[in-house]
Amino acid sequence: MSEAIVLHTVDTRGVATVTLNRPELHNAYNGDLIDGIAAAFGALRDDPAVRAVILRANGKHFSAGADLGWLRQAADFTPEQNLDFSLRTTGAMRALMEFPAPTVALVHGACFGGGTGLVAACDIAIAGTDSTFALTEVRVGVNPAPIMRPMNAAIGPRQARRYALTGERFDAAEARRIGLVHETAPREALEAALSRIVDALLLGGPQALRETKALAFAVGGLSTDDTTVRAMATVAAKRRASAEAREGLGAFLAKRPPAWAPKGNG
Amino acid sequence: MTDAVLLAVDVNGRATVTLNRPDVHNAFDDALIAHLTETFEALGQRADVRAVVLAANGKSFSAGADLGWMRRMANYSEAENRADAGQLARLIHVLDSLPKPTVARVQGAAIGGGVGLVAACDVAIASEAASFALSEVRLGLIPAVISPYVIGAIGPRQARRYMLTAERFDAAEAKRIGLVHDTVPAANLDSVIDTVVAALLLGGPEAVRESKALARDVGGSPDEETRTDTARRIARLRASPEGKEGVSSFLEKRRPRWQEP
Repeated sequence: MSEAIVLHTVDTRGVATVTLNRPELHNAYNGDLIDGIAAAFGALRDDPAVRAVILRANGKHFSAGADLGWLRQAADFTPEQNLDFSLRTTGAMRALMEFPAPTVALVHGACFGGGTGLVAACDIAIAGTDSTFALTEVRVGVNPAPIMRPMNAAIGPRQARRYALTGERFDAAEARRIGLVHETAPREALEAALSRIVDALLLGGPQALRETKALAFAVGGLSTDDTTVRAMATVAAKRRASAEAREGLGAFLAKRPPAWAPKGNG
Repeated sequence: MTDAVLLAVDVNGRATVTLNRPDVHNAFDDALIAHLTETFEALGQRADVRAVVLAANGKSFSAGADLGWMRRMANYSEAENRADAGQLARLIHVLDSLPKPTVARVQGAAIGGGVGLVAACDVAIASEAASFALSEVRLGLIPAVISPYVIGAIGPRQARRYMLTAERFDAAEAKRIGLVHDTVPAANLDSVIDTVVAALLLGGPEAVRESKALARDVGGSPDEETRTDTARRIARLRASPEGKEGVSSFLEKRRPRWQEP
């Protein structure tokens, strides 16, 4: 049997680690990864011994965005299958965002598309100084609907409007400036930076931490509801099935520019 | 007995409210909360006051909850705790909604509720020597009634970190995340505060008041329901086994159970 795509463990201190484990695909975002994330956080949610969760990734990159080959197949799903897939995505995002104990993302390498949503959904994020970020969805004609709520909550609508529209890459320093990550550290100092945060969390009362997170969600307006989640999933599913998305994904896979690409230098 | 709160109003309409319990790092108890609330309410009514500076005497700006008060609280019922938390919620609300511009002069450490006072002022200037922490979770408590103002100042992203980790952070970080607007060497603190107040006094008094109301209305200041809800949350925690363990371990100078290796 091959190794699970998402691993999870809990140590004796009550610190859980969820690891994206598909390094050969750079932890690209697809149905299996999404289901793995939902399953891991679902299992940890029921464990009262968990005092904090670390989300990290094996391999060269945290997550290289969507698995486009798989996304292209999704464009041919029936509308029901398509919506079901989007609901699994929004559901996984919500399971992470609303996880009752503190969550800490540890980012290295590339963090694109849905990967940025995972980082935004965690309470605290630490990134290697060499990591890069982008909300790349529009470049292939799809949209980042399932991650927009956590993204807006993390970086505010002002920055979200820029990066969701331009698809620009930005570096770790910019990610910290706009609030997507809280700390940056050179790769060799990442584990120490993570330990500092986790050690601080373990000084807090376990119940007080859960109640403080609930407080921040209630007061900060971060909670969502089933109607909003379903609306986001519907928007994503409709877009994925559109002619433009088929063109964008098809062009990417055929390594040619999409029809809307500028023809020359003007 | 010296006053726990000092008040001075100058001829230009600048009021300076000074926390004056330096021996206990300007920690607040029920008496100080009542005194400060009355002071801010009275200043809000005074036609001759156009700007309010909140300052503190001694090494610290405010260490948050007073030890004696915490000792009394430990024996409170949930209802007594709710009334008590309601008083702090009211103080911060009165400061936030004071119909004159407010400027915090942060010369030293601001911890817990002290961060709430800073966050509820319109402008905050900190000495480079100042430091900050939302330390509540280390006592098994939550930064409940101050959270609307803290989140309003630094946003939910930074609040999720500092409310959960209770890390101490310095003045530069406080400026980066928006808790304070500027940091200055300690020796320049008064002259920078004077400059901010001078700018405030150039604005039409009614226009400044209405601009503040506008910023609060459009920016979403917490409503009464939120204020009541946050007081209820902390009252429940204080009466819980974890909250009691956290406070008693602190008073007994030992580690709480959850920090034992």
